Amino acid sequence: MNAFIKVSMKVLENMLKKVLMKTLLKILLKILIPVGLVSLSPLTLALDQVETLPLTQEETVTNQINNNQITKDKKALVSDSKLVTEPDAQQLLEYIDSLRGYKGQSFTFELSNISFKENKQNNRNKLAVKVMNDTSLVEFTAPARSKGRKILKQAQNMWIRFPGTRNVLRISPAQRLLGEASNGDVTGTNFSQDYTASYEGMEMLNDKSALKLSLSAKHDKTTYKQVMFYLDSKSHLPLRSDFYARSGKLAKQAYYTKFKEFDGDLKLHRMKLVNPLIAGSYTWMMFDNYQKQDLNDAIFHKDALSR
Amino acid sequence: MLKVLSLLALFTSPLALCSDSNTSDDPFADDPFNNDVIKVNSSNSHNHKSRIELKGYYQHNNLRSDHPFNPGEDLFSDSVKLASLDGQLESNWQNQWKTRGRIYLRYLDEGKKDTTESTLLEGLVQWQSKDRNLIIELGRSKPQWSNGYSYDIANMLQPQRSLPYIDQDNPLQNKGWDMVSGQYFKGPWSFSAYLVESENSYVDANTEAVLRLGYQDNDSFSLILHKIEGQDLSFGATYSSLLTDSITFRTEWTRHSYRQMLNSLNIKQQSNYQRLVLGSTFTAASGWSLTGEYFYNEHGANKQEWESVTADAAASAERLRQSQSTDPATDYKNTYTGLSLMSQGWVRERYFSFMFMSMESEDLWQLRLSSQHSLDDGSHLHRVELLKSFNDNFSARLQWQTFNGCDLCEYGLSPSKNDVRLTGSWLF
Repeated sequence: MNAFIKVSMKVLENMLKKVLMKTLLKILLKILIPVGLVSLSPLTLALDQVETLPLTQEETVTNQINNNQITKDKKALVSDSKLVTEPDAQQLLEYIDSLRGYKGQSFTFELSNISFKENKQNNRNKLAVKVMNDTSLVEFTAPARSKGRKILKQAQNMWIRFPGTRNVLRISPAQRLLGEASNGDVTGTNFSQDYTASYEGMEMLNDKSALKLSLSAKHDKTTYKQVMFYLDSKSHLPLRSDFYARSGKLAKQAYYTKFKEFDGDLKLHRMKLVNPLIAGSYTWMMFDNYQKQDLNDAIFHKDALSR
Repeated sequence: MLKVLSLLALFTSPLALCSDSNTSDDPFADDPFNNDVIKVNSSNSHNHKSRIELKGYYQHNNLRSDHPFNPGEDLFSDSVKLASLDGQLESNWQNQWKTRGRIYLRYLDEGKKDTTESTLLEGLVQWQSKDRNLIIELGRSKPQWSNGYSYDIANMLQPQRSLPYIDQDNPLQNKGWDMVSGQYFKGPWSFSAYLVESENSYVDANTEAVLRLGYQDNDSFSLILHKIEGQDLSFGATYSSLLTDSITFRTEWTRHSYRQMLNSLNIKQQSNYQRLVLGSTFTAASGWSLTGEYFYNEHGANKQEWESVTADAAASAERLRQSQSTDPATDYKNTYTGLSLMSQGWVRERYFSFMFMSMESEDLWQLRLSSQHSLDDGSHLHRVELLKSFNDNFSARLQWQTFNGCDLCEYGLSPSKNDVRLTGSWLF
């Protein structure tokens, strides 16, 4: 009997130790490290300046404006005292979405893509994009060999029309039309609609402290089962995201390198998509000229593509 | 205190917004498209879009000189050369008006003869309501309602075909009809109506009319009513769906009250003639795709009709060749019927086609393999295409196709056993 009590006490003691260690670890990770990093931010800034490419005057101005914008956004996020210890993952996800869209308001933008193979520049194209909710219309504007090609995307459904014919064909999301860039990369994915986010703690990313968010697909219609987002711990702007296919394989990595303000709204300006399976294979994307527009849903009908 | 510190950190790090993950040089610094003006927003103004293509090809034909009724080198040459200009201009005016014109000029040297011609493929004026829901068009246009690749049966205004298959280098196959049309959009629905000056080669009529209802969603469908002067109503329907992220499915069905076939094929008499296409495309993760289509065609000749017509044509041609004809008029007519079959598509009842398409490589190479089989007589057409874009403007295509089958089978009727074509295209 005594032996049984002794063993039970030992097990209980071990469990208590584990719980205590976990709690201490959590406190360390979620409170002490962020506080320490924030306190050390001048040092982080110094490192940033060393590593970051020299900015043009225009970009510096843009980024100073952006700082104010981010500060406002950050105030909103930080005002929730809970965020100091554990950020609201869903709120951060909505913030990420806001960098590619206008929450229900239709809009237009231009996009330039440059693909690289073996680190050498390969192809370029330029697109004009119109977006309304989960529907988008992409028109190739350059180069001449692709000019006039139109792609309509409505949720997962896609249709294409080639110049020189009035035929409109249904295509599948698997059809790659822009090198490493998927259709979602072009038109913007509504992450908060399709994914559930959870906060996974802090990590160091290229000597920067980053918030790590794990996104799990809400349904099986998403191209990726899981997405890991790394956000700058100070600005909450995305630094990198890793996209995992349904097989669990890392399918793609996105590096978010520049943000720019368009009519007072901060938007993603430049992004680099890397194919982790092929070294030196990546696509640069430059988003520009974001404009809110009242677009009519009639232009997002496949029967209007040939008109 | 924490909030203050975090805000302070944010204020003191202007570069925080510009991380340099894996960046080296600015790839957009020498953007060659910088001078290309994009008019995403064209409200209250006018803008123009043009597309001009200069094209040329050389084709070598390996002719069937010993065909029962094929005149071989009497009519066809072993080489064909083409030089063409395809120009299109689309203009938007004051946000509600649009004009579109497309002109095709070509010089075609077929060995035995050469021709120079110009054709207005499209020319129309379009008006749109301010909310974009209503569109009215007047002029020449070629609306297409089919989802199919090889067998576009739902284009019920007769598709213009000068060969038994689509010739990518022949924009004349995209020549429209003179018409007035209107289209109205309401949510996922679209309603359209067309009144067309008829150019139907099977029925003598002045006008045709089409009403179409379209629905767009995960399952998209359309219903088509087609009325041609002097004939009963014809019907058509299309359906397409996304089965998985990588598989699409489509089907089309039509029912005509008249037969779209040569008059001389008249043994099969039915009150209506139906067509059905079932097709699917699979796209692999690596980017290549495979498309398969099955086509059932009641307009086509059944075995009895086919054997009767081809045997008559072959016998008549032989009599003419030997100068032994006792009824030259009939023999010429039969031979002509045989020749006509060479230039018609879809002349039998059952077909299967497939197409393999590689993804365009980073070096802008692409391979296409396609095949069409006439299941009624076992004849088939195989085509290999190698495409390459050399720069933003210049592309080339090397195409080889072979027609296999017995002398009196559908694809065996082709004047060539096989041919090879090299096409160069410059797009402005």
